Amino acid sequence: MFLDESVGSSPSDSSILETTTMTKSKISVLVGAFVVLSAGAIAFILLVRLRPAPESDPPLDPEPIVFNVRTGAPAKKQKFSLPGKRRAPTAEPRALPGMISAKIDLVRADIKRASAGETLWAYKSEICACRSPQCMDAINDFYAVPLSTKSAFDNSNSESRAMIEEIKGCIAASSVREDPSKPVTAEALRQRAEAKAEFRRADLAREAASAPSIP
Amino acid sequence: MKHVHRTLLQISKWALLSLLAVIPATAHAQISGMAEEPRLAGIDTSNPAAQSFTFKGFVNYKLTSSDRLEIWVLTDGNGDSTNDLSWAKAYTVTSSSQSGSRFNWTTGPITVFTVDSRWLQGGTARIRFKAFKSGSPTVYLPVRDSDGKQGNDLVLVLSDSSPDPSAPAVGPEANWLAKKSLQFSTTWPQATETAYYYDHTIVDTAQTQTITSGLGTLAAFRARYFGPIVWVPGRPSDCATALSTPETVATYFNKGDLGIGREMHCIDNACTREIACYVGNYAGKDNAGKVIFDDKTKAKAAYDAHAPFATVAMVERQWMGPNDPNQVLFAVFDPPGKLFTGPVALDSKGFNTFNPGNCLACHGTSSTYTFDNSTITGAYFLPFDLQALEYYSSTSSNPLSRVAQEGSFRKLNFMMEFSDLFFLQTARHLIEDWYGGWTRSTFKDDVVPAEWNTNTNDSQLYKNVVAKACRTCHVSDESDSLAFQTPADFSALKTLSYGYVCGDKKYMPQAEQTFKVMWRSSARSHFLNRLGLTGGCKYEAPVLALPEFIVPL
Repeated sequence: MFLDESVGSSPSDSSILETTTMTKSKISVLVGAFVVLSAGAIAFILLVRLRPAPESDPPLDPEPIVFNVRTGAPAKKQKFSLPGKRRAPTAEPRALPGMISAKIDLVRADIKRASAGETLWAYKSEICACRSPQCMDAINDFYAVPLSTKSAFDNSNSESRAMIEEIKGCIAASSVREDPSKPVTAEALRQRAEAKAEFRRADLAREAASAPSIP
Repeated sequence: MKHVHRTLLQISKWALLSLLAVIPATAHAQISGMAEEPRLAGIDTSNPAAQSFTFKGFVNYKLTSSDRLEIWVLTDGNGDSTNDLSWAKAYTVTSSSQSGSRFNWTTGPITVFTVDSRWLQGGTARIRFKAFKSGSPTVYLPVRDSDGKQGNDLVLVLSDSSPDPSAPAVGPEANWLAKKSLQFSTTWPQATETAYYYDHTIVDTAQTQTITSGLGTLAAFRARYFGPIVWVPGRPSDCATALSTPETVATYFNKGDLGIGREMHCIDNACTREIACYVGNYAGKDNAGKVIFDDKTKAKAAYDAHAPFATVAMVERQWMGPNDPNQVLFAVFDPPGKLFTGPVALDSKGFNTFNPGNCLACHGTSSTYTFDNSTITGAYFLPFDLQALEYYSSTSSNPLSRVAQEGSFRKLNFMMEFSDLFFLQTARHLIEDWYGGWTRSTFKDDVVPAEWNTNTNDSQLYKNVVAKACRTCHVSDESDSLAFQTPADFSALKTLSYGYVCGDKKYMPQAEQTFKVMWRSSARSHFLNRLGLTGGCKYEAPVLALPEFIVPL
């Protein structure tokens, strides 16, 4: 109905083709105008939304404020930038065996009633399966408060202590830099000696230059 | 044909008109503003529930009875803030005064913590500022810290700095330095182990002397390490001059981690390849002869009287490999200067008085003391953080002032950088940042490492928490992760650190004095807000929560 002047009758294929051919250039102009107008309007809206605050307002941090659309509460943000030296981030954790995964699900489903040991175990299992800071952030956001309120970090309990050490090891391993400086090599010892000599000699030269000259 | 034209024109007009109609509404819908006062802070108040505040801030629209601002308080300030039902409306602001494009609001002095467990002594409180405007989505206003920097979460966290866990009236006893403590038996008491360590730790390259035989007194220690530096065959020709740093002395009150006065002596002998330090410890004593910590005046009096309560010494032997057992040795001398095997208390509780075990709590957080063969691995010197110290004079001409001692501290920190700390990137970069890559003659305050300086939240978290309460010891950790090299390292450990700091056991910070620093500052407020931790951080006697009418959201 949008293509034919005679509403109620169907145009033949040839008439459509003819009409289309005859008005192609005009339609192109109109479509172009529509696209340009729409793009301009959208750009204007974005400009309005993103315009800086009036100068009289104190400068606010440029970090965006994110809201949870369901509750209106501040949503969790990615709080930390990733250092360039880290491995390429992978948000997905390693897959866990089905039994472990099912047990974790049980703990998560009833986190308030899970024991300190169970919660710590679930946390350990999940954090050790993480391969990226983003993954760890998500796991930490879930477990930080429950573990603290359950007093799960009990160094006097050998089982708890062992799990804590394992957790630290997993987190440390995930943050191993591409170019680890340890263990100390002969090359590192040589570099230290050279750096120290360089700084010391530069210091002594500065001191000598700034010392008053003896007439 | 005309239909085609008309239709496209109509669509274009409709699209344009619709979008133009949306523009003012969209622009109008944005609520912005800030809660300016109070700020993320630690506050010492004898009765938090009665504490009044004048809440202040601004929004970008006129406040009325409908377009209002509500102040909501977490009903259990130490509880979980993620449950919306745990929040109660405490006050509504319905008027504002316009100043330019800004509408300022203030409450005048009000108390919002008067009921239930909103803010218990020694605990934390949370407040949200909820801005309503007809036709606009409701938002929570951001908050500021004492530097005027915006917080991370849109919630104000206040922490009561008293009581703190260093003075527990109730609850678990604080076991400072517990991480490097050992259990001793009556058949092999602590002093026996220290003596065994002294007897079996060699001092010289020829392996003929031990700490006991070679360093039996402070005078012997000084004679061995603090004599003239002379060239040794096989070493560079300038080892005694350009490559060494002669004895350097600095005097200060260690406010950051021990709470005692110290007179530090260090020397870097590049010919013998040994960095040696000894430090006189000064403090007042109570009637029972017990050391009084965290009292600068009494520490100064002891210093003036030349009466150290102990002198502790540490040597890093670079003629051994960095990973060799006992490459770093520790020794303690009593006031007369005799090698001491007895208990050494580094805090008011004295839970861990084992030397050298209690030294290792900070000098190498990843270090170990192996009881089976009495050996230490992974021990390190620590850098001198001039902002963690206090000085006995603020007059620059006084030799005990910081200004007068900047040169000495620079030499000391130079020695520290080129100790084995050199191999710990976080420590090395920190020292170099303090001195601008050794181009500065003085220590630069408030340094934030590049990794932590990419956004306000990270840098404020670093300055207010990491640098104040974690860095002094953790910088000596061999793991980049536990040295908190990057914000991501710190964030990855936040569940552990939150449990250690705010859980019942209070494991961290490990030293009593550092614990005081953390709990008596705004560190907890920053810790919770900037790490996005949704729980509290308390230390008070448990109380029964009173029933409370909760205004539904």
